[in-house]
Amino acid sequence: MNQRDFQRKLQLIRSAERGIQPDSAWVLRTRERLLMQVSNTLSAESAPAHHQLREFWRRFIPTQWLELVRGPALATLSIFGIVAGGSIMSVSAAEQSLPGDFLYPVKLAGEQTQLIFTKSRSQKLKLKTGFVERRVKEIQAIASGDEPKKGERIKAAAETLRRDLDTVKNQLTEVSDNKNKEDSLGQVVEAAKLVDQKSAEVAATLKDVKPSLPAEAQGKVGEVETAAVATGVKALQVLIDSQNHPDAQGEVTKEDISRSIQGKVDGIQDQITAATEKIISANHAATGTQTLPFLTASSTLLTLNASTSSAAAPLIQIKNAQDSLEAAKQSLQENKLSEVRDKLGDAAKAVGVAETVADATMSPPAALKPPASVPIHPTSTQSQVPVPAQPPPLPPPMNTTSSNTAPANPIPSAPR
Amino acid sequence: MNQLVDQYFLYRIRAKRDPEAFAQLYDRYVTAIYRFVYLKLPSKEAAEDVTSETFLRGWQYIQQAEHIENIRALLYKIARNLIADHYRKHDTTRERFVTFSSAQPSHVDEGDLSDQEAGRAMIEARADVALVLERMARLKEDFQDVLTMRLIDGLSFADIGSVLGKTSGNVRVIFHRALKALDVVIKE
Repeated sequence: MNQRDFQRKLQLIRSAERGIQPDSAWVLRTRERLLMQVSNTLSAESAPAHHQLREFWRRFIPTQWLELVRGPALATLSIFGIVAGGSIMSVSAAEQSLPGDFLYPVKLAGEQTQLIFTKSRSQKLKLKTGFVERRVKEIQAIASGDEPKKGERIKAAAETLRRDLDTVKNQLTEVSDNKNKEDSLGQVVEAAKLVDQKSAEVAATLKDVKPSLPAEAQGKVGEVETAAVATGVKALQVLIDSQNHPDAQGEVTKEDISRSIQGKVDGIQDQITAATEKIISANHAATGTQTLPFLTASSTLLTLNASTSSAAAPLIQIKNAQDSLEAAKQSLQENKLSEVRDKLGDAAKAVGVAETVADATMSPPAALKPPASVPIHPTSTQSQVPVPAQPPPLPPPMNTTSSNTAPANPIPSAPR
Repeated sequence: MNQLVDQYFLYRIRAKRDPEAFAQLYDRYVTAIYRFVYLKLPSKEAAEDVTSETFLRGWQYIQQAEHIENIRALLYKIARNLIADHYRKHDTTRERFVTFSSAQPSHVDEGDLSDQEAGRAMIEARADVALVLERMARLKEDFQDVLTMRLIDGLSFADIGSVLGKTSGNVRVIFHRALKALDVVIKE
C-alpha cells in the first residue's frame, strides 16, 4: 500500500466514522431527560450582578489578550498620566501664584478656560465675580509681603482687577438685557445680588488695604475702588429694574434694595472724599500752599474757575457726583427708586471721571496725604440714607449766598 | 469561534441560570461524543449509556468547577474515563475493539447514491473501512484516540492534549507516530 492508498484509507476512516450517527429518537429522549435534570438543579433567579460580571470577564476577556494589551495600555496610560498629571500639577501650582509670578498667566488661562466652558451668562457672571475676589486676595497677599517691586506688582494686579470689574459690569448689563431669554429672572437677580455683595466687599477690602500700600500703587487701587463701586451701582440698578419686572414675585425685597442703596451711597461718598483728597494733595504739591482755598469746612466749592485751575475739571465732576448723590438720597426719600437708580449711576460715573481727569490733568508726583488742617467733608464716612427730617449733608450750590461767606483763601492762580 | 460560542453557553448557564444553554451544548457535541464512544464500546446500547452519562457528568462538573477552558475537551475526557470505567466494570478488555473489527455503521449516511453502481461502491467502501478499522484496532489506545479525535472530529492538538493530559507538542508527536503505525499495519 503506497502513500496514496494510505491517504485513501484515511479518507475512508473519516467518512465511515462521520457516517456514524446516534439514533435521533434516543438523542431527543436524552436531551429532554438532561434538560429536566438541569432545570431541577438550577435556581430560577439569575446570578447576582457582580457574579455575572465576573463570569463575563473570565470568559470573554482572555488572559492572553490582557497580556498582549497590557504593555501598550500601560505605556499609553503612563504618557497620559505624565502629561495630564503635569498639567494638573502646573495648574494647581499656578493657583497659588500672584501677579508677576512665572505661572500667573497659567492661572489666568485656567480661569478663561473655565469661563469658556460655562454656557449660561449668569453662571459666567458668578464665576467672574469669584475671580474678582481672587484678584483682591492677590493684592492683599502682595501687600502683606515684603519685596522690592511690591508697588509695581500691586499696580499690575490692580489693573487686572479693574479690568475684571469692568467685565463683570458689562456682563451684568448683558445678563440684565437678556433676562428671560437665556436666564430666568431669578438667576439674574441671584447673580446681581452676588455682584452687589462682592463689589461692596472688594471696595471695603481695598479701602482697608490701601493705607499699607506703597504710595505709587495707592492711586491705582483708588481707581479700582471706584470701579468696584460703579459695578456695585450697576448691580443695584439691575436689582431695581428686576423689582419692577412683572415676573418678580418676591425675588427682590425692599430691604435688599435699601441695604444696597445705603452701601452704594456710603461707597460713593467715600469715593468723593478720596478723589477730593487726591486733588488736594496734587494741588498742594503743585502750588506749595498749605491749604486749599476752594474747600471750606463745608466742602463748598467757592472760587472754582475751570478755565484756569488744573484742579477745576475734576472738581466739577466731584461736584456733579455730590449733586447726583444728594439727588439720589432725595429720590429715595420720595421712594422714587428709578430716579435713585439713575442718580446713583450718575454719581458713580462722575466720581470715576473725576479720578480719571484728576490723574490725567494734574499728574501728581505722588499721592500725598492732604494737610491735616484741611477738612474735607464732614459726612464723608458717616453718610447714611437720609432721614426725611434731616437736611442733606451736601454742600450748597456754588452761587448761593453761603459761598460768598467762605474764607478768603483762594487758589493763587484762580481769579475771583 | 466554536470556543467563543461554547463560552457564551457556559456564561448563560453560570450567570443567567439558563438550562436551554446546556441543551444547546448537548446538541453541539452529542454526535461527536457518541461516535467517539461508539467506536470503543461493544454495543450501541453501551455507547448510548456512556454518552448520556458523559453529559450528566459534564453538567455536574460545570456546576462545581470555577472555570472551564474547553467544554469540548472536557466532554471527551469524561467520555474516555467512562469508557475505561465501563471496561473495568465489565472486565471485557479483550472485547473492546470488536466494534472496530466488525464495524458496520448502521447509520452510515449514504447520501444520494441510489443506483446500482453507487450501491456497489458503497459495499466496497464498507469492506475497505472494515479492513482499515480492523487494522487500526491493533494500534495502541493513545494512537487510536489521537487519530480519531484529530482525523474524524478535527480537534486541535491542544484540545487533544487537554483530553489526554499531555502537552500539545506531545500530542503532535503521538499523532505522527500513530500515522506511521497505521501505515505499517495497513501494509501488513
